[in-house]
Amino acid sequence: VTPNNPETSIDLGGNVIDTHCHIASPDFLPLSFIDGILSNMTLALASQGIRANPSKIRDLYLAKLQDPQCDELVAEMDAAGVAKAVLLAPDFTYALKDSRLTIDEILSHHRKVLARHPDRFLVFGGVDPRWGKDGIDLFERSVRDFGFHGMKVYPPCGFHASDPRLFPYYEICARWHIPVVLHIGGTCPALAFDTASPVLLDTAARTFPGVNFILAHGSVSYVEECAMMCAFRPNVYLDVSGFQTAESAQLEQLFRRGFRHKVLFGTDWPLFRLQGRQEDCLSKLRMESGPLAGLRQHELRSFMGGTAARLLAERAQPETATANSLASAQPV
Amino acid sequence: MNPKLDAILERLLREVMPRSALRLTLTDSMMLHNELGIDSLGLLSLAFRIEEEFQVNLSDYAERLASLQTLGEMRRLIQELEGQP
Repeated sequence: VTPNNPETSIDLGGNVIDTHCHIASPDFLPLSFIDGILSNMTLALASQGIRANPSKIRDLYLAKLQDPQCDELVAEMDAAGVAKAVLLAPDFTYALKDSRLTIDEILSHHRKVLARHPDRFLVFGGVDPRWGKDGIDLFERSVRDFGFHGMKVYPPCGFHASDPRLFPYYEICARWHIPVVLHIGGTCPALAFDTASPVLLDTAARTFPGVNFILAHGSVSYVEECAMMCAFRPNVYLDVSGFQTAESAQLEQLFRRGFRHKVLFGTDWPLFRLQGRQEDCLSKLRMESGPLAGLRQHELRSFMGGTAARLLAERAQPETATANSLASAQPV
Repeated sequence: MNPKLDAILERLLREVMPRSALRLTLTDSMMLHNELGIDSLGLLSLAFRIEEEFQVNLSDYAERLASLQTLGEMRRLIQELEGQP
């Protein structure tokens, strides 16, 4: 229990970038994915003696996932002081056959949201590598024509991060100087967990030293392995999305590991809307006694958006990409 | 104030609040999540307890229940369910 007292809160500055958000709609999260998540909640409620009807749990959960144009999300970001957010579009359509839309349609919708809120979002598109050449072409189009800024890879769908079928995608990321976000750790019970370890990224990270890889939920799942990868692989970063579900001490310990410059702020919003508002989530971080208390000012700025801005600003047309460098990158 | 309503409210909350929050003096402005320590599972638990207490269909109130932020909002919802002004 952490009462929000604005008198003792840390100023996070005006350039906060939430590096891990999604569009809130069952159009992009198959019901089998949602029901899998909720099955664990049903079990937990049963342990309290509550016989919860699963369809009613779903009604409650979906009540907060009806924002396909992201208008509500923008309002939440305004209230929370978040300047920009990265919308991640994982491809569940190959692994979960009850997906409402094709991956082409999903990425096209993200393009429309980007056009609707051009100054607030950046999009990382995902394509399951088992879609073959069509998938590679779609991904390249999403970067070249849609203006997407990165790739989202979801290994629990049934492939690991160094699967050679992903290499053509990483080659595109290398040419465009755009980062790759990988889901790490457990997820919906309908999917595999054994492909979601961060160490499985190592071959790809070594093969593509020019591509920056971001381990999503790195402060929550496989924390030791994520820390090892970030500490020793120059092109591996992590985001802390989902930190709301773990103890603050876990985040504090991560910041003591010597790679504060590689830790990115993220919330996994709006999937945690049943836990309150996005600004509540940030207020926990802001507390003087919270996990950010030990950071220096420049480290705080890096964590809240500076590092993300630098990674995102590297994006460049393939013809000119080689002329860019970290030093010349401008914040987005 | 309605003593009966207050008693129901306190009983429901006590079931879903962490023990460390039980010593707090409850006020309507308190945030369910940040101040009373009610997480997403706690909110679901609260919703099903309200359904049972007031014999209503939870799905009819899904948006309201999922959007509860403060103790005052919860009190107003319960007042409505009890048919009080």
